[in-house]
Amino acid sequence: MKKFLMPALLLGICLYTSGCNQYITTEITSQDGEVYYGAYNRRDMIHADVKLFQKGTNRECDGVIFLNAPSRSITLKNDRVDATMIVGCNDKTIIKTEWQLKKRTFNDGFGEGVDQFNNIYSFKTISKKEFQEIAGSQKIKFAKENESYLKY
Amino acid sequence: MKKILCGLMLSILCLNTAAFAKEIPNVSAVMTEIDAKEYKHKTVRKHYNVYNLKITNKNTKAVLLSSDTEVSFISDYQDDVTSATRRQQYRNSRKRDMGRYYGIALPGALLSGCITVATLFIGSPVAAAVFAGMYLPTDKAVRTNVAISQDLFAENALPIRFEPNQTYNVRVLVPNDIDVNGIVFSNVSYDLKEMYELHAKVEEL
Repeated sequence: MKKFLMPALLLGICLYTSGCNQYITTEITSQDGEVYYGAYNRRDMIHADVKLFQKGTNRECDGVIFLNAPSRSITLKNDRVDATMIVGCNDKTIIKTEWQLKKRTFNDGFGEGVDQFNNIYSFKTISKKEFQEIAGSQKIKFAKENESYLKY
Repeated sequence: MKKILCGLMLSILCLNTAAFAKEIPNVSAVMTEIDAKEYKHKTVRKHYNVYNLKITNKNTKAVLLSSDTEVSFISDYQDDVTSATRRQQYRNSRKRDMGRYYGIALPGALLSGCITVATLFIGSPVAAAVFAGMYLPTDKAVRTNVAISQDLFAENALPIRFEPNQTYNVRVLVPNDIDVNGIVFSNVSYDLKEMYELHAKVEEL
């Protein structure tokens, strides 16, 4: 029994720290019928990397989400708090989104964003199954530190 | 000969326009340093000097940032330095949760353990040691991180669009080792087609 405890613990730690993707999509955009989908992957208590695609085009965006109030040592962990998502796209636009996300788990939320031309995007989190219905077999790969579309 | 000269002049002209983008008109931007009294977080100050950037757009149309916008600092003595990404700034400006305090934590745990042994019974010193050695420092670091990140969240974000006749205050973190003279935003525009630069100078108090 003792033999398996250590590997199990290590595996548990690996799983815990590696984190899972939280998949997101847009519900309504002000340009009719355009769907954006993507995912974010939490990196630590306050920030996560994001990747976004526009369905049917090769427009893609990436950036970061920052949570306003990180979870530990603060009460009401299941409350939703503000998070700001800023993504830069390969056609020079930036989308700035205000999310409401659960403080502790960093997921299960909704958000509304604008780009520089005041187009409105409203986002929500979805399950992996729903994501696969939109994206098909596409895999999400996050940008490395210096290769992001968002330069500043 | 003429052809070569002409080509040379043309290439110089092209290079010039490429190297010196036009400055965007009717936008005033001034940077002032925020001193240690106003901004107290030592963890941030270890890596950065904190400046307040005040941008006023006096145009009749909005000024847009683009995803190609880069922020760089100008200095008299050094080459221009590109700003760290927001992510890097967040990373640098937070305390490590554990580890940093072991220097204070372990003697503290010993001391408080000894005191409790002398005054109380044998079970509580362990709890006291754990409390003083593990919980308190972690809690302190976490609370400081929360304060810093909330502050950065509220003040540090650059708007993606400067509306006409409005003033924006943005906090800028400049690396400590640069004697900064001004700041340049590249690839700023009205319509994302013709790109300009936005300059801000440091104003001495």
